[in-house]
Amino acid sequence: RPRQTGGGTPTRPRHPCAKMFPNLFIINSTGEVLIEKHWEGKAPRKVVETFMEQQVKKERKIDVTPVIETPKCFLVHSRRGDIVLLTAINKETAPLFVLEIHNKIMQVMYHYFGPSVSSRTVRDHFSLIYHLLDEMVDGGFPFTTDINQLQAMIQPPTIVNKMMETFANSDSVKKALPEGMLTKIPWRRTGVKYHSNEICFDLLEEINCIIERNSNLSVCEIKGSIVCTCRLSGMPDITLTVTHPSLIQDAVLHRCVRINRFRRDRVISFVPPDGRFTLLTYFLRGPAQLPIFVRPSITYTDGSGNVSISIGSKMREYKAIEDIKVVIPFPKEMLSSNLTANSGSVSTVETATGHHREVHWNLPRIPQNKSPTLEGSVLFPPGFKADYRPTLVVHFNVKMWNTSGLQVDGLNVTDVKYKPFRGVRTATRAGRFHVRC
Amino acid sequence: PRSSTMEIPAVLAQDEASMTSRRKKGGEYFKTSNQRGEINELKKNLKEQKTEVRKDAVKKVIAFMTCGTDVSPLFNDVVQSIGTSDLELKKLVYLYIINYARKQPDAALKVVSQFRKDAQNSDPLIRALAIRTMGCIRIPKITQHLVPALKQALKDKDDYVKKTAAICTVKLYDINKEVVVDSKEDFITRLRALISEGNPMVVFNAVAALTEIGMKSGKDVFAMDSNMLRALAATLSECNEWGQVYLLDALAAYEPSEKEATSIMQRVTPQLKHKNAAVAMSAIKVIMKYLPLVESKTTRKVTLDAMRPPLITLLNHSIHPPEIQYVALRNMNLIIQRFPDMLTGFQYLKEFFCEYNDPIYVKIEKLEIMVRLAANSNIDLILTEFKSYAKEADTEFVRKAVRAIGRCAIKLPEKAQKCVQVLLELIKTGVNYVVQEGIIVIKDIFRKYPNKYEQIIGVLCDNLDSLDEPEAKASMVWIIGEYSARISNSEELLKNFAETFENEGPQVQLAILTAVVKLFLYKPNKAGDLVKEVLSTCTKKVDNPDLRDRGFVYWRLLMNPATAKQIVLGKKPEISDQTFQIESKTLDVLLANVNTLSSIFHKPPAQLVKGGRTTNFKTKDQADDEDSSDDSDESSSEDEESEEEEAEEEKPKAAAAPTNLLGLDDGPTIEESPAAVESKPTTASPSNKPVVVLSATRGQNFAGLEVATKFAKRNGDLCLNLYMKNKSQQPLTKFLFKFNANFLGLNCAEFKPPTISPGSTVQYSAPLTYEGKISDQNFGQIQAALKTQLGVAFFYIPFSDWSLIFDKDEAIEDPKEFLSKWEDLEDHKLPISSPKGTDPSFVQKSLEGVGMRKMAYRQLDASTGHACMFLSSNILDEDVLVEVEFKSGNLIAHCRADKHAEVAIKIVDSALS
Repeated sequence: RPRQTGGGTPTRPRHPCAKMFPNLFIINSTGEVLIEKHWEGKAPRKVVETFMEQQVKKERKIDVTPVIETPKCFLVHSRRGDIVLLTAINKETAPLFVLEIHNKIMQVMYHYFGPSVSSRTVRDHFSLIYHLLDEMVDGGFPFTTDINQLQAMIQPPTIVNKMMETFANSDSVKKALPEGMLTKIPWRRTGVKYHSNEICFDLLEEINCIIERNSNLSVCEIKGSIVCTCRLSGMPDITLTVTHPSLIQDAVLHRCVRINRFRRDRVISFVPPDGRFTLLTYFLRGPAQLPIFVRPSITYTDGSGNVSISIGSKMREYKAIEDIKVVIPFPKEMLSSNLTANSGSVSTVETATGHHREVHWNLPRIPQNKSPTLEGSVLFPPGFKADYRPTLVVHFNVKMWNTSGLQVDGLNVTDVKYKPFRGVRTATRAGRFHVRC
Repeated sequence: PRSSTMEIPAVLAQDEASMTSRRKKGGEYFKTSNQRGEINELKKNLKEQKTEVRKDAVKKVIAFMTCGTDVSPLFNDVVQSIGTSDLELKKLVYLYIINYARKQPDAALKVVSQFRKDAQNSDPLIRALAIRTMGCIRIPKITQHLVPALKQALKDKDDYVKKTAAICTVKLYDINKEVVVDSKEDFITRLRALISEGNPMVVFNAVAALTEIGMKSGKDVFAMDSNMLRALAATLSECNEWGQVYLLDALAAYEPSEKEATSIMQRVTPQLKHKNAAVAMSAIKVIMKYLPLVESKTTRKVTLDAMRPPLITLLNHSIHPPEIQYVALRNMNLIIQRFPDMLTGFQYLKEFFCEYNDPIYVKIEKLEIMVRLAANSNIDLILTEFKSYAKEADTEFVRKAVRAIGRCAIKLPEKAQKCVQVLLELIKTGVNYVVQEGIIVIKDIFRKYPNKYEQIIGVLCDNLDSLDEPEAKASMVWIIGEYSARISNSEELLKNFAETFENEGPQVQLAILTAVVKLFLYKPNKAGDLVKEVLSTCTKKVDNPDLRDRGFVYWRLLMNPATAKQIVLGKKPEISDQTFQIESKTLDVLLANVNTLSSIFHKPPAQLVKGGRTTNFKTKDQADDEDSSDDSDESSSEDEESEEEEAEEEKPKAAAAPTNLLGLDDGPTIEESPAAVESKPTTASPSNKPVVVLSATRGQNFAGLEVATKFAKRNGDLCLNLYMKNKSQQPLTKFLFKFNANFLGLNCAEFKPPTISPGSTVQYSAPLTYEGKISDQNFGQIQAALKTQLGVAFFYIPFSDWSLIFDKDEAIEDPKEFLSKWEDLEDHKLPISSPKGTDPSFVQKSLEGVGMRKMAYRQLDASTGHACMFLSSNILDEDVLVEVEFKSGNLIAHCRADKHAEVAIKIVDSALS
């Protein structure tokens, strides 16, 4: 029954929007095509040239807009490190659909080749990647994108190498479709067996914040995740409870978590995939306890700036704060800097884009007896009007502590006959920790 | 299908490992003679009786194939194993065929009877594999075999087969449209039946197939009814992420009743939280579509409340990469125009704060949204934020931040004072580009609030010397003119500007003219000389017609000062921030298209993609809507400016029409985009007129230089004549000009044109050599780059006058020599696809027209008209031998030459078709 609507127009023209992934070019930073695959029609290689022309126009490569309109088609791209995944589309297609497939392809590559996938990696494993792409997209439709299922079909290179060493000529291919392809629990493979069964949870938190000049916390967000490392035989069923369930009520859940049970009882109950996976991710907004303070002060007089930055622990009881790094980006016009610290090392780095000259201050840990300070001056050319207020980027790690205080309350493993080893670890680190001065 | 591929990787990876190791040693593995030996051995192994040996051999063949080696000679040997009872071997052979069929469908068709047999196999995997393989053989002949098999597969008892068949129906549609949409064949009915079957995998693949066919055919093959709606909604939560995207989009296309809308929205709301942004955005799309249908205020409120956190999550950089954030921001920009109060709270506003390492496109979108969210309640927070952006190092972003402050001032009259204060503070820092941008913005503020902030003019005047951008200068001049009565030394200031009048660009000149007239009307005693001087310069010395005309109009007007005052100093229409708002009806259309390209470019689908859909890569032609979204914002703001402003803005544009300024009578104007050039490359008849290859209005990165080119011969050598018109404000002295690798190997060795002063045109003839790199891409055009002080411009120069490179006089004349050469060289063959004529006299005339010499014409078979014509020519000191074969109404060109055979044959093709 079609209804007239209140404010809207009576008839909206229907414009179809495709959900097809027509092609993929993986290119390196100079525009060389490393991988090219077409699922629907054939896009000319020229699109890569067109893309590179757009890139040349930008001072920084990362500034190229992700969706570009060209006279012949639309170019959608994702940039990861030194490679770009580029798809040319020529009809109305949901851009997020394309971007999410890019994302998925990258996730799979990270899983197969480790966290630093570069043009080199792509070159070294090109046929394996073609193969993965064949599995992930069929005729332009996403097909098998679940990492566990893919791994059951296509083995990552390291495992293969090991196999080659031990069973030189053994036939390792599987005779049938991987189990779980059409089952209700596609994320777990059957017949998992371990000699020692163990399950570990990492409660990781990341602080993303902007601290204003007046030390006010203008933006603060904690990204927390529970990462599970599961090495359990059989089909275990796990129930996990936490101390402050309200903290995770808006969490993004892994698909294995029974969502209704979670909503009703605030209990995380699931049959886990095998291996390491993120069980849930939660976000907490609003003020939080920060483990560290940073007090910067920069004053300018006639082309030179006086810099003084001090940092220290804000923890009530002692916790080791490690791997501290403070990055101070100065404009590229800066001539020289004369900065010294009473603790840690200082270096000046030109950024890859040439936009800034960064001063890096590295400290292995915050010493207990003194408060680390960085002091000195920076010099600009005469006549340079610098009222430039850099935003400091701070990195650090704290083990055995988390901001929110979330803890594991109970852990039950059922449906199996063994008693597994269980472990919980907590850690906090700086995500985007910005201090304005 | 998956089953087959899964066993390969181990083999592949092994092979790959060995390959890379060999490559590292420096040996080109595949080009050694070893390869032939290995192929022979494989051939032998493929004929072995033992299944295991054959299996190994097929695996190796597939590994070779994936690495790009041509294994087609082994085709017959491989397919012999297809009838095997060994499951694994069979799958391997199928995998081989699937990959092979894309390249050589005819060969794959030979084994079609086996596919049909396997489609009846008891193993569902084999059945699915057979169907999938047939779908990969994309030639019409497959239809008769595929149709019956596919029909059966769509009714198969196994879910896996049904799902594969659903996708295969789309493939069949690509091969043969009619049979799929034919109601007698009932493919569509069967696909629709699959939707109510329950297995989520089957449902979503059927939905995907129906959507795709619907889109390709333009018919509503889906025809969703309320039963299907219920089935889809029930399946939604069980699908994987991609399945959810397809289902949600199908829901968004449905026109529900109010009751349906409410219940579907409830089902959809949980998907908003999905980690996959495509799912979340598709859910938002459903809600945007259904929400207006619901009258209950509580439902509306609950739904909007539920939408807020997921929207914010889309911006989260620790979940989503910047590319996804960008798309989300563009969509959010639309959503908050419809629901302006949705995100105004402090806690939401903060989510849009820019971080210094965000890419610029994310920063700019965040700024846009913050301006939209700006309200009296939150402006203080926003201004503090904008102020800190204006002190960053990135110039483009700083400028945008300054503009954003100005827009807030215009949007919020009560808080304008605060914004102006912040702007003044920034201008006082003296940073050049901040000052210039600030002055542009303040001009608009003066327009909006006349006579309110003139006390700040003093501060602006302190910075007069640092202004060097036309827009900033023009704005400053406008301000002085408008307030000349109140600025005590206004005549001095304007006099200073007028001194350099002739060196300024049209924008500044027009501003000075108007300002001086205003000054004269306010202070007739003090400005008499100045106005005379400026008017006489405008009317006598300047050749810009707009300036001259306006000069005359003012002159005439000033004869009657009372009328002039009424007109020139009259009340001007107010400006507002509404100009950035999208019109309500358009917004409806855009909101219905959330998560599409339209919603990113903020253009309705009909404008964006021709006819709403295009299916192949060659049909689109829409260079004229190619302005980026930023530009469209600006142009819409221009529209609403007063008439006076329009005259200032529009007239120079009209003058900028690329053709008449060059003094050429309508030479073909070619759009600046390379593709537009490409759309009519070689067929353009060799014209003697220069072709405009670069227009002066080329966009922000490179504007101000117009270039037309023509290839010509000078003293027997090829050269490129360039006609360059400088439309910028500065004299151009430095030039760098380069060709990219091109089809002729042309190279520009020397490029030293004289200085081009603003407004003048220079003709320069650049000598060319053939020493450049040859590329087989971009036939018929040469990509060039020109660097001047204005920046780097890339453009394509079409090359179509073939007589310039073919040299008849150097061609072989002796038939014997021709014949011996003909024997020596390798043959290149190309059928002429659509010749303009097929009789020998036409061919002879056309080819002689491009500089070839006819050698002989021979009739081979009078009854069929089979004949051939030989021609010879010379290209770059190289003999080119051409044969045109006339065969049953078709033309086939053969061409033999050392290096340039490929080029020559393409030229023959373009000369004949």
